[in-house]
Amino acid sequence: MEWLNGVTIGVVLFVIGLLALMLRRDLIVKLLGLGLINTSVILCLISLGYYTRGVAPIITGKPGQIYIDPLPQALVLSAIVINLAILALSLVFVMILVERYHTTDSVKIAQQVEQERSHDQEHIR
Amino acid sequence: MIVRKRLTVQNTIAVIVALIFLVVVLFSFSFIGRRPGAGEQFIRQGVEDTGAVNIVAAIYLNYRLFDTIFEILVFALAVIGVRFHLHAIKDKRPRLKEALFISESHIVRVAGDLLAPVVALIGLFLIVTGHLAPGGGFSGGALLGTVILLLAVARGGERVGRRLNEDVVDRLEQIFLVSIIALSALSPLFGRPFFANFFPLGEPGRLLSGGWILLYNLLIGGKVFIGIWVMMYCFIRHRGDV
Repeated sequence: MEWLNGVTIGVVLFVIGLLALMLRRDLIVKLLGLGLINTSVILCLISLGYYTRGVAPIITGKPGQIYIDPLPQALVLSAIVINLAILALSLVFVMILVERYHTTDSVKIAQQVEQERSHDQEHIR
Repeated sequence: MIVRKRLTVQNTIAVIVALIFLVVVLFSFSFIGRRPGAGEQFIRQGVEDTGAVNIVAAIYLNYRLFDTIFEILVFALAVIGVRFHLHAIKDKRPRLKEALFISESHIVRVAGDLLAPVVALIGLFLIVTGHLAPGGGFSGGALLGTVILLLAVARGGERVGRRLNEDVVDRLEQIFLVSIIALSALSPLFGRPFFANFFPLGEPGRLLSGGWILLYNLLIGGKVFIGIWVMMYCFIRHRGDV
């Protein structure tokens, strides 16, 4: 079971999120997929910095302790905050689209935009 | 019918691409062995350099402060974006009457009242001891924002929002943001380069140690607390209640 660690689970979760982004038509589900991708990247990075039987990188002065790599954890903090920012902002954009087209289906929204555009062009002619 | 056919072709391609990605990434990760990484140097010198026991906080707010400041700017930008766009939607729809929504459930109200001070205290503790233990400005600030959300669930969002004066909150957020950036620009006055700590390091392990990490944690905590509450309040107002 050596292969079953945070890295491989993270990659599998990433692919699940990617598939949700590509296959599902609902915008809210797409956002959930985006969140899943971000979380999986965080899991992957944290697991890369982990040593077996390592302790959190808080220096207590006890001898003989293995501290895990603090660098990925510090980097991941930025990723968490930026994930929050992206999700909040894109949720607002989804709300704007729903307000205007009354659906969260991305294909239907694209069709309606197409119709509006052709309608506008007829008006111009 | 044509649309549906094209979609299935696209779906097949998408699944194939995802599977190829899965195999390639797993294969490439299998070559990575476990060996002392780049963080080894921080563990050896971190306490000496920064005075903070928590090495993650030392990296985050001392070695890599430049990154952190832009991360806070991204967060501030998200708050501004949410406010701007939600106000734009709101102008088009008929104005919601200021509903005084109060939770019907007695349990929720009592539990909210009981839990809010405890959670707020934990949030403050996380912010203040960010350089000694797991915690810090962002996690503590997020927890404090959750306290206000808890109160909003128990007491009604409009009521809690009116209690926090919007102008004061806006002004406080700006002050926090500007002082976070200005503090890093003060370093040259004390003979240090930009983004370098100029506070005394103190004895590692004490509350007043770690140079300016404690001050930065307080400022970031306040900024995140207000930012999260402003975003939530925008969503609450758009929806009418919690």
